[in-house]
Amino acid sequence: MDELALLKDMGEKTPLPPAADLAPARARLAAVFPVAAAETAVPRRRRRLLIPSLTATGLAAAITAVVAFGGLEPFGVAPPQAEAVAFLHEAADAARVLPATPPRPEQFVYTRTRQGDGSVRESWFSADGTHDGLIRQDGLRIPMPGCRDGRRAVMRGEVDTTRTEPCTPEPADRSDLPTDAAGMREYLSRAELEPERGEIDFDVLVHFGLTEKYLPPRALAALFEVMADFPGLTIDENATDGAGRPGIGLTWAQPADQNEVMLVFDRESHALLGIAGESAVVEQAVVDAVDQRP
Amino acid sequence: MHQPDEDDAAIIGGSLRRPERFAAIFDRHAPHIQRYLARRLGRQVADDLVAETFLVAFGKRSRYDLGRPDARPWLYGIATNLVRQHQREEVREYRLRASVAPEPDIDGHADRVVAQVSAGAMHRPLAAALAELSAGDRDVLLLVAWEALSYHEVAEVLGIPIGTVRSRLNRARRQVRAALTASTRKECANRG
Repeated sequence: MDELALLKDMGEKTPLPPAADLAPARARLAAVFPVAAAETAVPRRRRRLLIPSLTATGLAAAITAVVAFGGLEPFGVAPPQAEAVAFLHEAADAARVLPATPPRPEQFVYTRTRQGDGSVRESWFSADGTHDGLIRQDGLRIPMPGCRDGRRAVMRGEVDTTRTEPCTPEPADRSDLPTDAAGMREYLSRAELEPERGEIDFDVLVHFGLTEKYLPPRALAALFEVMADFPGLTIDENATDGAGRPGIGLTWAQPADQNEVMLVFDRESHALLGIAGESAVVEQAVVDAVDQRP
Repeated sequence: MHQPDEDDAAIIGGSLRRPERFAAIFDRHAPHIQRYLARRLGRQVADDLVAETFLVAFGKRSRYDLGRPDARPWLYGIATNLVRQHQREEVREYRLRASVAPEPDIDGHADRVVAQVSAGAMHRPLAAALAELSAGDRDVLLLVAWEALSYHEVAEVLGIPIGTVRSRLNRARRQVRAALTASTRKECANRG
């Protein structure tokens, strides 16, 4: 369960109030109606101030179109830095020539990540999304039931409640992703990963969508190509990822008031290592069963 | 009386000449606004502030953009401003929730081992994490998670660019996730 799901669960503890509970508030409001009615009875020239929503919406749309999904601020965006752009194209080129090694449907994508605080997380996600996966973190075993025939088991921790819920399989094999920049850009804007909100940004994608999945090298290359178009790209030659491994850090225009997200790449292979200070993918492989390590 | 299929803008427009029509806006949206306030400030304060929200809205109805059929973002905006004025109470509310004993698990002993990963057991550290967020990040996170507003609606509610909504949400999620991870680990250490 991720933090948003937990929050939703917490929010559901507060019920909608019955009408009777709202009666005092409604009475307070109704009490001002006669006063207002008396005022409007006095003829006077009334100028209605309309919020210029068209302009605002147009501007927002334009910004969205320009920055696509970087989670960027609309103002003060610097032109892309040649060095960072060049590095991303190199990373894309390096990825593109790697052989694709997709898992078979019954296999699992194993990923070991290290968080900035030193904790380790291991995940086994079903390649086709129909087999039961697992996450091990902080000594806990968190089952990830597979989705079969549109249903999956409802677990409370490790305990099977014997209930099921409707689902859509979430394959760890993302061989379905577009393998060219234009297609990837279009895919990201379609917001497949977070359909309930209709939007996605690169940051969320890297954090929650792809790090524990199998991405064909050419899809990864396409992601890097898309990123190369981000405004305000900068390069840090002496960055370290969440496991303290040195590498090349890349950032883009981000709001001044947020902790900057920096993706860290291996200096030689140009492989994506992780996020500075936060996380690092230490190992990733295809395995045949849950709990099996490469 | 208003037609059931009339949108909020039509009702608000009509209420300029006939103020009593604004009652329909209350009836339509007050339950959700009250719950939003109760989630953030507790029941008692919410009962008071829900009246306040609609009084403020009523007073500002002549400036409502009639091109917007749904009044929810506008109402959430007013309610959120009121929450901001009660930030200390809000933080106190989360700290309170963080300190109270967790509800007993319905399934009893079988679940004890896994209680810490079940949703209910995470509410305390979650509440503690909410108390630590900056007000702006918390607004965005809770409007998305609790009120199920879209990024566009949240941008409208808070009067900020959509890029800022995204970055605030990302940051809030990261902070909450980090706090939960830390708390889970502590629980494990205590247990083991």
